[in-house]
Amino acid sequence: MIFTKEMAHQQIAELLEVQSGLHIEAESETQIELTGDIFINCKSKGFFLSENYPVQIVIPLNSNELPYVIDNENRIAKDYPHRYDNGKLCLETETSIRIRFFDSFSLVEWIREFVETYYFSYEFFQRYGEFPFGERGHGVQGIVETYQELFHEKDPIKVFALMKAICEHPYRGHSLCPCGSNQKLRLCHGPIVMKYYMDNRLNKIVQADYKNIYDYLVNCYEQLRYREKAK
Amino acid sequence: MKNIYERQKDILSIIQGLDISPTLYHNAVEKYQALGKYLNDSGLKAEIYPQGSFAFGTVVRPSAKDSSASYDLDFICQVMGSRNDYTPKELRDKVEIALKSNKTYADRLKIDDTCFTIEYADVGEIGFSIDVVPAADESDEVKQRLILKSLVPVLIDTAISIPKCNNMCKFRWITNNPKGLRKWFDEINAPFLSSSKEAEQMRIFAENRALYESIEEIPNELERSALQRVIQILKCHRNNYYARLKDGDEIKPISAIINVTVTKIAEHFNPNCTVFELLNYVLSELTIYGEHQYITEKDFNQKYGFRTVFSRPDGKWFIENPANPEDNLADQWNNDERIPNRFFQWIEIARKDLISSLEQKDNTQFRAILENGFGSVSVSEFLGKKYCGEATPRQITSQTAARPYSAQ
Repeated sequence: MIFTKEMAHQQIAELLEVQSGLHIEAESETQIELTGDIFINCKSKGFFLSENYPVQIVIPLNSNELPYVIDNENRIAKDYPHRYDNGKLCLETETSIRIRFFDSFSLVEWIREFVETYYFSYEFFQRYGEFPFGERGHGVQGIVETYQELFHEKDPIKVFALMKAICEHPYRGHSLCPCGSNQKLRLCHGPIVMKYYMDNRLNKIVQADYKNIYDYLVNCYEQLRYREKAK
Repeated sequence: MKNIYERQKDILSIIQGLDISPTLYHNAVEKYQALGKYLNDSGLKAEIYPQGSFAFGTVVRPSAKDSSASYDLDFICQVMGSRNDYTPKELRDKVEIALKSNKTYADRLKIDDTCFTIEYADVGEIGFSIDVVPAADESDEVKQRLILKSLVPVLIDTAISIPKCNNMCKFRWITNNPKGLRKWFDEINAPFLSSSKEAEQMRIFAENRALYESIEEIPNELERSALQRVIQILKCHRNNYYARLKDGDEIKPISAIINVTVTKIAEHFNPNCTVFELLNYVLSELTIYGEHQYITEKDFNQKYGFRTVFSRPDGKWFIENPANPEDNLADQWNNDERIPNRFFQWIEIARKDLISSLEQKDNTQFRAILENGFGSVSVSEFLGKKYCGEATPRQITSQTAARPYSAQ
């Protein structure tokens, strides 16, 4: 996932072939900035979007940070819930993006799958007042939802138990599934979650998210205890 | 340089394509007149006449979800005598028995709470259904009451009573006046119609040479004025807009609201206007009426002067049916605030799509706006690939699509 300057330039060249409205605006040792218009031409749910959007795209170099998009000309309404005050767009959970590109990152695919879909959802929402594909919950809730989908498991408690097992134990198909079904892992969630045990890159992503969720829960618990004591 | 005139013409060609064709029109007339003859021959003295969009000349192919959907044409079957001569159930049963006793109608018949539907599926490529609502003349007592309340008392004479089924399957009378409403509409529409008469006759004649030998043979009912076209454009845009909403079927504004409000707004506009001049004016006025959502009736009247198409005395929405002063067309708006909220959001979108986008957007963007407003099947059917860019729009798969998030 980490971009060297050379890799970044190679991918930017590919991107500019499909998004010719963009250009390199600034470049330093730590990041490359692209600005200009991206053209979005897609459809879903009977809605068509064909539009140019002015953007600033920042590609961090030699860092684990993901590229991001800034709505530098305020095309997204200020009250839209998925735009930060500084103009940064909340495209998806980092988990979704990192897992999608866990083996190799593609700027072209990232724009296509995450940035274009973001603008599509935005325009659909502005027109119909509904999100065409839904929206993620804020904060930790959105991360848990991402794993609910990845693990094909609706129960967030079971998802958390699976994440814990992935972080703390090696894969053993004959052991009981951490979800509590009393079935062997290989006959239960095993086939879906096995890759998160086995692939070191995926495992690292789960570890980071598990730690975040764990810390969040501990913090909530401590706040509750503090409030109880204060009573 | 964008050719706005050509874009307007293309929108009109979509609407013309979605209008009822002369062949289908003649077929429908033949069918409802035959039904009237049959009922009278079988001893039920009744008059069948069109109501709603078929009477107004504002028919559009209905469903945005199904491009091959048939036209729903509405008719009143007014049985001789007044409501005092029957109970509501007796009147309904009389019409039902008559329809069921003829195999042609019985085989095509569907029955619901208010009307009898006769489906004609195989006429040309697209079929139509005839909705027949039984009715009797309204009582003198009720008519007198309506005359006292009405701003146009001369319309009240044609008021009728319709058997309406409540939740317990018990029938009661409700008052309606489709003939009066048509008379009101025709009077306002007349100057608009005469302004476009010659051009319309030429158009229909040119498009239907096989059907008519001379212009004189073209029925007046097939000509369309700017007012009728504006109503058709808005109905079609509404169908497509609300079809995309999860709760669209529950909150879609009824056609009567579009017919009546647009006609009232157009009443004082120059009848020699183009369709898009009138559309622009109507949408601007409807946008102003949207202010009723945020300010009091008093403040609205102070700010916008004498505008009475929509009003909100005591916070309740009111759109008067000009032919029935006791009928508030916005009744449902007061039970479900989603209806007015979404109605005025839709007006804003329609204004963007149909007015400002024509000037601002390039061809590919305009194509997307057309497909959103009128449905991709209809746009392709009547415009082919016009305005399409080199690349076809990429399909986003719902199941795997990214969803916006916020970490904060």
